[in-house]
Amino acid sequence: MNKTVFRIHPAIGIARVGNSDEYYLAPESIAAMPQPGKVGDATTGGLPIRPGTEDTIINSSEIRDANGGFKRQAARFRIFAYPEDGVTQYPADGGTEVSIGSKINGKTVKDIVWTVHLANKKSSWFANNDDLGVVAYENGNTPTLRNLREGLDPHNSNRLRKLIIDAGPRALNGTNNSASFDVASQPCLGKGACIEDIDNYPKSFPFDHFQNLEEHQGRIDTLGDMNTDDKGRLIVAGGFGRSAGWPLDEDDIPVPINGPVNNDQWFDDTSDGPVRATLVFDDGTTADPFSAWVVATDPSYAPQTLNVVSLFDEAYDTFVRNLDLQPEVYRNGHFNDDYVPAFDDHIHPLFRATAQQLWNAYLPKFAIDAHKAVGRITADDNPDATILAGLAYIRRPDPGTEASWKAQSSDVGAPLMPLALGDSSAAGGKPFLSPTMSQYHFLTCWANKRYSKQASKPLSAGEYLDRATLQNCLGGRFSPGIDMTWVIRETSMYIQDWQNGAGPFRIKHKTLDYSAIAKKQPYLPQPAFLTFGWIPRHPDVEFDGLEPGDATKFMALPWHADYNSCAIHQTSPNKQDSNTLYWSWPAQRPVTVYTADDFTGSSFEDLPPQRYSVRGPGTYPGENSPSNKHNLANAGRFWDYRNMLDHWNEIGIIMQATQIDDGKKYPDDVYLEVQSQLKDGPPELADPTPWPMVAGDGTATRKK
Amino acid sequence: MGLYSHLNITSADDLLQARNLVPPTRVSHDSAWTLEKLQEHLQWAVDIELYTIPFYMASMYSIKDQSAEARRLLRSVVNQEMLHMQCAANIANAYGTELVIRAPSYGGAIPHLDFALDTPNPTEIFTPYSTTIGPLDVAHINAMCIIEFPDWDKCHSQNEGDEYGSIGEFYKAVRRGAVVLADNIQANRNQVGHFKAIYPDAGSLTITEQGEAGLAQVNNLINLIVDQGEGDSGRDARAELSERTDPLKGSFVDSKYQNNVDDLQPTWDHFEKFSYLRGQPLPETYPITFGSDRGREVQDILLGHFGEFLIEMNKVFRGQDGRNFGNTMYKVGAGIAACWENGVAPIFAKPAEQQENK
Repeated sequence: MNKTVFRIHPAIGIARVGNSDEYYLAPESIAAMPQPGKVGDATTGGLPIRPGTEDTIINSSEIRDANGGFKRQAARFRIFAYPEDGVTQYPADGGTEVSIGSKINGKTVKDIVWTVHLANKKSSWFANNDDLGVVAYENGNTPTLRNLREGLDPHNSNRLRKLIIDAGPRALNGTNNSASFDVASQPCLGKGACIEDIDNYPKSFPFDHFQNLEEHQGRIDTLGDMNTDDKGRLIVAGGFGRSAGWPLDEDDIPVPINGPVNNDQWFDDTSDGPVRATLVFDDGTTADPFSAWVVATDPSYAPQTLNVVSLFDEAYDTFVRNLDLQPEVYRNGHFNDDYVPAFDDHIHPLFRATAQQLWNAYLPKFAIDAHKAVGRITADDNPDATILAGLAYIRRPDPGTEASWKAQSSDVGAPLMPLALGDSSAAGGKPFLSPTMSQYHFLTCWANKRYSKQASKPLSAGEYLDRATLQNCLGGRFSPGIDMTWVIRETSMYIQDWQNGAGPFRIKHKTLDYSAIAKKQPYLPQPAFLTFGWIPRHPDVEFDGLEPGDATKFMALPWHADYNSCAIHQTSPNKQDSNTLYWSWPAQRPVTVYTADDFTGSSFEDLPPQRYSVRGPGTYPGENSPSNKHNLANAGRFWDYRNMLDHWNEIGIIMQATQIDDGKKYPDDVYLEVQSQLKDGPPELADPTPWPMVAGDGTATRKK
Repeated sequence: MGLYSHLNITSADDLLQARNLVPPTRVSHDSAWTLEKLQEHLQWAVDIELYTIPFYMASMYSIKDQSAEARRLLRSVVNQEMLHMQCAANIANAYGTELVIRAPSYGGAIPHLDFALDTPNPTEIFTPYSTTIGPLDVAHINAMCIIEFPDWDKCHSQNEGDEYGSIGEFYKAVRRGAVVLADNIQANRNQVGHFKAIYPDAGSLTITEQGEAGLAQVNNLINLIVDQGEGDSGRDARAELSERTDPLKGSFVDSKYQNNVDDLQPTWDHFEKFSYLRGQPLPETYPITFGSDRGREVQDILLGHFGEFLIEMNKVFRGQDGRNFGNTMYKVGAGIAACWENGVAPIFAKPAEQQENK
């Protein structure tokens, strides 16, 4: 009899912070693409799901709670069963969801025991090097350590104890249960069919170690909570968007926050960690599915805007080109010229992503028209007759060595797409973003009329969850990014022998010996349980697997500062000292938006003028502003990073009009900002202008 | 089909039937200027600017490397030629011209100009040259240099009725005609105002005033065209030519007309950019192959796009709704790229035999 392999999906789940106790479920459809199983539904994918439902997407009135709080996004995890002989390939054969009460191989699932361990290691980790990215970790090197005042030895246990927020593990079973990753509750662990408390677990929160904390949106005393639904699926909701800074002394108040990415003396409450499960059958046997990972990160303010290069595109490219994911696509260092990609699978998402950019960025009319034309391309169109014939407007990924990036197409801006800022590289940064090598290869196949309309073998439901989850996240432009950074490209992060059952895109877990804690003396100071952890490109540890906190520790600290900053920038490098501005993360960090309040028309042609997504008091001009306060590069963001710590939850969400339930009528094909609590900008600030946007003194000021 | 009626055509195909137009004759005296004469000149100005766009674009897209310096310099010139065509059309419309925009004719003489009248004669300096649509090579770079050849003060014929020797000289005459007939300027007639964001300091890119104020706007647009194009220094020809072959020696575009958004060399005029390319190794270009069904198909598709683009341009510059202007323009670029990718040269007009068959 064929054995069964169990997997948790999504392999990487994405939760997002909110300042409400309530949450909605993470989207399980791909942004801008048709929702699976909803033929004829005008609403595109990417929107979160109403809790307690399978796939009912939320309306605009469900973004906030009754008190105006910004709801968190919780990640929902499920278990799928696969026939063992079907998991050695991608897509796998089969894949049936298993929940409490399911029958499989003659046995009934009696219970599911879930264990999740969340931590935040950002303060203990290295500063992010935007330009070099992973290269900063090569050849035994590392970037500079954050918070050097807390010790120079990154592995020092006392340092780790102070700087890692570690709630410890929590376990749940049954249906409709919950547990919190907070200060008060007891760490516990699933062990077979049982849940065991972990006494003396060295939980650690900032206020345990630092006095006079400057706290925003409340005390960091929890990293979120976990719940089971009525089928025994797991729902993990992350933190509340809180941040805390510790002053060095009485003169160090307020705590400095002067940069977007690497602020010493700060914590935030994002987190990540392993998600494990044990299936308990009615005959007393158990089975452990391949585990998953949860990442709790920034909010998604434009959930239906697909990133041209997403986390999925990055992970897929990594697996295809380095981990033998689909030998029919890529083998022995080369793409297979005989492979026929599917339009709906590999090509259409790129076109749809292009068409969505206008909702978060201020494009000139020509560009809007052109983007819409790209979005309208179907599998039935002759590629040679389309606006993308010859791939004339697609920036080629760099086929050469990393050292030659600077001299390649990554240095060419308009009209090449995407017109977004580039990524880190060995050469010190790429000015502009390119599709991944795999994406470009598939586009080349399409341009040469070598494609099929539909995938011959669609993803299983679980694999679709893997893909949808990551495809709704930001890829490329890892400086460091929003959800995860360039680590998504590191093969050492994953279970590399994915053919043995795990499937692709599954983070390798480091084995944690929780039993060792019980042997500690309960009344003595406890060392940190978690270590400095996974270090990419360091062979001594990089293949050990990840600990809780190892995925998000590369991200900006606090995340709010980077979100505030990364709207529009000059390129880096900028060989010509050009003042031209480009979007950083247009799909993930809206810069300019059309608001539902402003919309009074009846069609797409009636779009109102755009407003900055981040607007209102504090965005311009600021007291004590430096001399470049009139610089357009600083428009649409808070002048003082600290303001974002208090106001991130007031930013609106961009949502398709079909889901806006404010009583007004809208055409179906517009995506408008709703539920913003930010007041209109100060009158001195110039209205947003379409690209080309040019920085410089006075460029942000309204002309008198 | 008001537009077709105005243009006296039955389909876009009619606009693709390129015709060699009769060059304008020199107007040397103020008294010889009439509104009809000026409108003829301005129609020719639009034709000249349009002529350069497919010619340069074809060479640009023939270069394989998107980041090649030559490709980037060519793109900057193509973009400015589009601006120049808009400027020329705006001036023409301000003077009441009923513009007709049809496919340029390539492979023969450079339209409207007789470079043999120049001293030195650029066709003797920049040789061999080719005006057929083709890849970036020696012959085409030479042709570009000839097209953008500067107007050497006092080096050319002044005879009434002769042809003009350079674009610079041609615009000098247009400038004078515009002054003489300034009373005919109509404000806001069929004006098109793209590119303003790239040239925020260039002044108005449209003619929004009448009389003296309108004439100042006309002169500004002519200055822009000439300054970005072949330059107009009024200096000794041979000395300047020597200097201009070393682009590092000077800046030739007024700062207010410079593209500081995305031009590799915003201070270089077109002639300077092409002169510079003459001294550089040629970039790798797509080879022309023996042809294929697909090659012929993409040529036909491009031709169709270009025909639509001509229609759109006729609409836009007649004050009509050209809502497909941008997309059609992008499709032309894509079609050119597709031609090279498939081993065939782009085409922008109906071959002669097809015209005869119609």
